[in-house]
Amino acid sequence: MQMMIAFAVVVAIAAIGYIGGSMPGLLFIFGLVLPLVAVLVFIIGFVRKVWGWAQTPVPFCISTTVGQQKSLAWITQDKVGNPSDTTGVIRRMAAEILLFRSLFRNVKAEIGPSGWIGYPVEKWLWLFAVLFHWSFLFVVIRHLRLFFVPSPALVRGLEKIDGFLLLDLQPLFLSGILLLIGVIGLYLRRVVISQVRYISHGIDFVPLFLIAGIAVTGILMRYVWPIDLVAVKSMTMSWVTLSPVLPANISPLFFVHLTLVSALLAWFPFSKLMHMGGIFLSPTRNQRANSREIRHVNPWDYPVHTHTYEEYEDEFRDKMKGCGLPVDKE
Amino acid sequence: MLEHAWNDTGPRFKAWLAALLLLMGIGGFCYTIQLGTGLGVTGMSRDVSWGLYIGQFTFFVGVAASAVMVVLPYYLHDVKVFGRITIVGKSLAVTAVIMCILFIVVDLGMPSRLLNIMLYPSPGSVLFWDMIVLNGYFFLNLVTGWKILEAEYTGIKAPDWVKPLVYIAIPWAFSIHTVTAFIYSGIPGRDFWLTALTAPKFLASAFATGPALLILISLALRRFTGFDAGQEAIRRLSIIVTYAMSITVFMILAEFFTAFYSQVPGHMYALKYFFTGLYGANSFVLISWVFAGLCLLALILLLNPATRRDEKWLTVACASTFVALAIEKGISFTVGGFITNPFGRVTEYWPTGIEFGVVVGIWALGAFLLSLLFSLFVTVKRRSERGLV
Repeated sequence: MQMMIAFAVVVAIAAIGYIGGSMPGLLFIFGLVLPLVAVLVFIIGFVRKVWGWAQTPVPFCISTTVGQQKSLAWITQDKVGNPSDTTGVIRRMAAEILLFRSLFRNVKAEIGPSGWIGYPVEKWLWLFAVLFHWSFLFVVIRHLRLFFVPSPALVRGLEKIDGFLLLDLQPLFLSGILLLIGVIGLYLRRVVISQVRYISHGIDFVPLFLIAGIAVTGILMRYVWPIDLVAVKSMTMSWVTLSPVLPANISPLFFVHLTLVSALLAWFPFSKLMHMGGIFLSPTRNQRANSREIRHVNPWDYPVHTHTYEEYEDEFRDKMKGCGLPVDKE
Repeated sequence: MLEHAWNDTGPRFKAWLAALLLLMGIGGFCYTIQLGTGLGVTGMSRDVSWGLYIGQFTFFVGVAASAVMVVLPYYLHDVKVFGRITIVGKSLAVTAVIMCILFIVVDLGMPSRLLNIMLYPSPGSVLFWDMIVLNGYFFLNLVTGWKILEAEYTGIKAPDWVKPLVYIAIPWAFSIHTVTAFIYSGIPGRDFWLTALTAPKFLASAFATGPALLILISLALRRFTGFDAGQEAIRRLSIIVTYAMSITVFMILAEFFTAFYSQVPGHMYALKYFFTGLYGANSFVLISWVFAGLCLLALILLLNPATRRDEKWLTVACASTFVALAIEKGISFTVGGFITNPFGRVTEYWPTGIEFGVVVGIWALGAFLLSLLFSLFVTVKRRSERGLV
């Protein structure tokens, strides 16, 4: 039910985009105000969120680990799983951010016929997540061509690789297809695996539906109902040069795409999608696991009045000696 | 589980992988040259339009299909001694199919039009069916191999649907090499290939090549990793190699009889070209005699029980078998069909450096994948035998 509501919300956003795109009078709103506001909300919201996290003190070493910590010399340390120096932390973060190492370690517990528990690997989450995130990155980079004249060399190089295969002599951008496959895979996991379905809220489906909608409209515009690219580029260039142009002959499908993207951007800072920024700031990942080497003292601990044994002994040494108690210092 | 392919490996293994990566880099570089300039950088021409790439493709389809020589006895005849080696066979099959597909891709002048084979399917073409059976075989072996290894790793029985797939993979293995043979023997204009013996000969030589390679791999694994496929398994495999190699050589000799006793010009040209040269064209004479010599050596060592049972001689025999058939199927057979073009003229073919570079790159890639797969299952086997599941 919650999933259906999420679906309905996304369909409603798409419908609004379609209506807005079909009415020339609303072009100003859907072709300029909405995307601009969305981008502003995205940037300000994103910066505020990250700023807030960066301000939050992390006094303790709370890194979570999956390997042997640095200890005695003859015990092999897991240098990536449990890093004790900055290089190790960078390696761990890189493995996490670029290769999704944690997801790769995913297993499921199962009881075998012998009654023993076993842990078969479960790579689907990792596979779909990698497909999804990397192809999304490629798609976003490819879209930079709409905001530069001429389009950057990076974009053109990427287009060459991404669109190596031809579909009727037209480059087939694999990233777009893989993005959709990734989203569908992640969606199916949530629906098919009962435990994952149980912990899924309606809000978890919104980004999946939104991004699937964006991918589908993008693919439709490219391969099925081509749009007037020149008009689109003149509009997107007008955004970055701050001299609004509103061409009239762009198909409403484009505005469905644009409205969905705007919704995604505007909602981004307030949603779980902020893991994009958060992954860099997660204290359990970006700290050195050196809690046994170095004492971490909370800097704002209340100053407690202490009375150590040395002080105690200084105070009562004569009396202690007098009744024959052993003392550390003579 | 996958991480075991990499974790706990020594510096020697990593150096080996690095060397293979370097070779793959060289292959990749050669391929970019070919991609930029076109197939003109290869030795292929109007008259000889299939060369080393297609030959290697054919050869590795055979290697892939030969996994069935351990899978079939194990699953259909309950030959328990092949239990440890079936997974080696399956990894070999998966790797060989990947190499096959790469050999096809590098043979395409316009690889970017790759999808057309699926966008415009032409069931009348044998190549279309080859694409189907090869991909099918790849997934069958990947899935069943993976599930069986995982079952060993976790100690939980593989799901029930794996068994039927294992059985389907057995006839499927025969299909991939048969279809590949039909690519050749289905061409009426090329006398050398136009014989019903092509498919059976392909299968026979594949069943000599694959088990020979498996023996070599098993001996290497025992030496470098301590993973022992078992004395009995190697002995049985060597008998399979002996039979298959004898049948292969018999079929090749039968070709000579048909060609020369009946004086069939089209068949004689290719055979003459190989062993004596034809109209002064003789670039294949040397490797053809090497092939013949190696076949003879392999047969002598294999048919003699004393040398077959001796591991040193068996290694020599298997290496000779492998190299001999790599020459025959890996290049000669393909080129032989094109010798004498439709006008009766001879256009010679010899691979260029670029072609060799690309082929070395693909071999290195195969060795790389195989090394990682072996490293994975050797660790898994070791863990499961120590009860660490």
